[in-house]
Amino acid sequence: MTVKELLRRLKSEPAMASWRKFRLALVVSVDGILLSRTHPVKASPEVVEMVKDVEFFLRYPWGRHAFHRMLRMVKVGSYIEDTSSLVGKLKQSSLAVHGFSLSIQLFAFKTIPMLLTLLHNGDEKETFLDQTIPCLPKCKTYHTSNIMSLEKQIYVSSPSFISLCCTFFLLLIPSSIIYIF
Amino acid sequence: MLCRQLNTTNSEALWFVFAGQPVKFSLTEFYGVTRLDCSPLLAERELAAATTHVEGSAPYLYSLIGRTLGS
Repeated sequence: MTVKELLRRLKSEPAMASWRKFRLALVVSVDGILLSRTHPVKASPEVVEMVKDVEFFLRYPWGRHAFHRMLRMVKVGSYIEDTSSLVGKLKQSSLAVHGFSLSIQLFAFKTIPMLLTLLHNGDEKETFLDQTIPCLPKCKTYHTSNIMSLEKQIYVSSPSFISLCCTFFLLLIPSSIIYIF
Repeated sequence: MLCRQLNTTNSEALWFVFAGQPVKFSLTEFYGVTRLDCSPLLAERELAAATTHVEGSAPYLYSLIGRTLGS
């Protein structure tokens, strides 16, 4: 049974019993978002079986599970046979990622805040918790050239940061020692 | 980002290169951005009991979506 089908049922049956609605929503969130695997995304029998015991289900460390699933697909390493196969892999225009792939994107924005300057509405502060999001910005893919130029900017900016630190450090050293140098 | 990975022996983390600097993405960073529960997984046996239905009984999916076996 696909997650889409479950969602359709959730929407089309407002009179559905609350225990059923809640459990279906849990399955949709876990299988559809955190552990997404096949296309179309399907509800896995294991997750459905687990939702029988909601307490257990909610206590389960889904974060770790999703992370491991993602790592298994994303990580380079054991799959590299030789250089040509790696080149072939890198030439692919897309890559299937299982698990919670959004986390990598979020992480990229967190560690490289300058990526936000490439985003159309990067400075918007609204989140899903705000009730009044006028419209969601369209998902935009980055052009490699943009990323490269951003990288160069950072390259240029970091040496100056180091020299700034050095000057500051030299200022701390008593003048007599500098004289010896 | 995914094409800039470093091949490391650590199987628990991803390493990328950006602007000449290595960037690590492990469970800790994953937790940092998602705040999802990342406590250790359960023992295999306990998990198997929770993820499979008892022999002879219908899978839970049927009672969840309100159908009977074979329909």
